[in-house]
Amino acid sequence: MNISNQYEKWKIFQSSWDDEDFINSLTGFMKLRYRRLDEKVYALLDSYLAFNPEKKFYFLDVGCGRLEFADFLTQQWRTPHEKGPSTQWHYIGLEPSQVQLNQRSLSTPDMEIIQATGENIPLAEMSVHAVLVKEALDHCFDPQKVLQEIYRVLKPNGIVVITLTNDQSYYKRLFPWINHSKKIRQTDHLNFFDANALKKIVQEANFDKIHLETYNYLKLPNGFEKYLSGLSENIQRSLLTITDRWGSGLYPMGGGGMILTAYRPAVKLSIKSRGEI
Amino acid sequence: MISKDLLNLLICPKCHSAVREQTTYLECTACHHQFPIQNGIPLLRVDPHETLQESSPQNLKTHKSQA
Repeated sequence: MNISNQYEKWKIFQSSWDDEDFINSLTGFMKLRYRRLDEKVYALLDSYLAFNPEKKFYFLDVGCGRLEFADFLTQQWRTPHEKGPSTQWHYIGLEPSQVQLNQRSLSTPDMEIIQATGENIPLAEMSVHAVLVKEALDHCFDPQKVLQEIYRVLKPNGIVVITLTNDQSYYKRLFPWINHSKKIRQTDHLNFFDANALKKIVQEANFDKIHLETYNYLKLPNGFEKYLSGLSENIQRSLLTITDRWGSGLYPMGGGGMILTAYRPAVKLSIKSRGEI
Repeated sequence: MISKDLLNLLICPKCHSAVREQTTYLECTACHHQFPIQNGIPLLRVDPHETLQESSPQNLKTHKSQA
């Protein structure tokens, strides 16, 4: 696809994107998958904070959509923490689509939204501790530029968490014709990534300590997934956990979803020799 | 009204200079571009195609030949 076609597609499907139809079409089982993803992301950020304690944690959510992750965060903070979260989070959501932003407004202090694109993040250099790009990089016009921008706004040793659909999951490889026809219908996806392509693009943006894992190995036809939605949440969770455990052992990069973490390298201080001091 | 905390972090997406808050918009202190604030949300979206054209190799070539 050439640049002007890509741009036209971006303008039509992304600059005024609304995911209401998509959200309404989700089965309960699929919603649980997304909730597990939020939990995984939160756990990663939490462990980052455990090793890099900050009094105030500046967190940027690129492609925040209808603020699903912001909602998840507020739910986490409402759960009984004996002394409340020890770190004060400052959430900044970035979303290009006015339609998405019109759906919501944030009333919680220390949570703010900006209408902007990932290709031109209107934040100062080295201003945030962590960036999340949740299921959004494949919707971007220029993913390379987005990663360069994320690198610019991250503080040294800051973390980026990227989650995406895996274009080379085991079931897409088993049934390539289904994947092909799905891709044609997915007009909102401007790019498709597999594990290698995602790692490569992050490496090219100069990130360090790149780690990628795949999950969501359980994939069934819609009718079966609707049936699973009727089971108790514990059973659904167990099924997802067990299949992820088996799947990652049998086919390590073949899960339906990918989670990548990477860091902006810490500033290397040059040690001056005695003669230079 | 945008929080002081966020205002300290915000920059102009076009030229990367600081912005200042006016009554209903943000103004770049260098290029003086104005960005509206709607329902407390600063609208700082720049068309990604615009900045791609600015930094595309072809455009750099043009700048060089003009210099």
